[in-house]
Amino acid sequence: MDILEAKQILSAYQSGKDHFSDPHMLEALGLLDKEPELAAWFENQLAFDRQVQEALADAPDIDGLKDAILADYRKARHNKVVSYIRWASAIAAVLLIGVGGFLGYAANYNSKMHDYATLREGMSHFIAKSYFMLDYMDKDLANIEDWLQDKDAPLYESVPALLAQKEPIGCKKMEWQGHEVSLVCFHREDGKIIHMFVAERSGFTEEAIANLDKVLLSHDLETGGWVTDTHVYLLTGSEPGVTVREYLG
Amino acid sequence: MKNFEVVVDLHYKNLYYFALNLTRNGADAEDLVQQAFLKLAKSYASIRDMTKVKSWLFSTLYRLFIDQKRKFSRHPEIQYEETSSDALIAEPSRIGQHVDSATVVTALKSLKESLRVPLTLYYFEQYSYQEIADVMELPVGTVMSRLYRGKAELYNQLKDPQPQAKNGNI
Repeated sequence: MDILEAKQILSAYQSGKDHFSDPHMLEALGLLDKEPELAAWFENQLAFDRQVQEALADAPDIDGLKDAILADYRKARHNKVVSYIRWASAIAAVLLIGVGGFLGYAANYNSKMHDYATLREGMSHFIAKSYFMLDYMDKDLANIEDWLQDKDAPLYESVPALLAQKEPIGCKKMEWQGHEVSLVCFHREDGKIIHMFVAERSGFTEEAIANLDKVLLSHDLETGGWVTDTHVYLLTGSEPGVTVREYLG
Repeated sequence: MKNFEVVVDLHYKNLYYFALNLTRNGADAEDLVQQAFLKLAKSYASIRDMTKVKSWLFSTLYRLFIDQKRKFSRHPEIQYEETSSDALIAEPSRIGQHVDSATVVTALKSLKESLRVPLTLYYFEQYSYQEIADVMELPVGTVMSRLYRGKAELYNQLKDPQPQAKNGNI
């Protein structure tokens, strides 16, 4: 390392900094003992650096710059939040339109069950063509009865013996042509479902419940029911091929 | 917000003087500093190593400056030629009279960009030549040479300040 090279390296020397890990700096510093001219130059250099650094330490503050930077930061953050909100709103709107559209479509479609003249046709349309969810899910028939009572929904007098052996799924309170109707669903062993509708007889026209005790296909579903002094009952299968006749007693 | 304010507090002043020595104009320097912090604000949440914020800010500001210079300058500044000879270089020493910050900043601003950038980082930030090389994306040998030459020229300016240089904008 010659003197010029040493000077260039020592020009980067920072007082108070650890230069031990820098072999070039260490080598240049090592020359100071051997080269008095370099040592004198280095001392002058350090004095000059100190003078400059002391002067710069007093450099005045810049009015308003910090406030401007922080204002920019707030604005950037605000814009980011606004951007997130816009995206979230757009996604929510799309979901709302999608869900709303589906529900609207489903509600409109479900309302068609009221167009039929008989309970059988209306209810089989509901099962075959509508979108619905049960209001209450329970595998215990006693709990289902309690729920229907709490909701002032029509409650069956009894469940046909064979059907009562099946596992209940849950129930729903619904309405058909102004009549309150309860729907109770049961699982068969093969996974198919038997739906039992029950409503109070009063108010039904004879036409609406005509031939209810006959087993007939309606909307491709097997249906059949019975009428008591106070109630009307209708069973339907959940899909074509699911028979209900065996449960009619 | 609190953390960002701390970062601003720590660095904005030195960053401004670095920018001032790059642009030689107070308003442009403030713009550059604001742009650098705005970039930081936009990516602040994703910065994991806060110890690197300082070098990130200086590198970013320097890149912003270079980009703007390329964009607006038809006649780019002729870069200082590295020399292996020190025959013409004055030897810096303690200056007889007292020097204040305004005098030093004005003198720095009068130097060529290739010299005043490393000197500013050296004096304001106490950066090592390796750190300066990282910010300027230069070989360390070039940085050493520029520091050596820059100090000599700064010394000449401070020893015998040129009258017009006193009108610098701080």
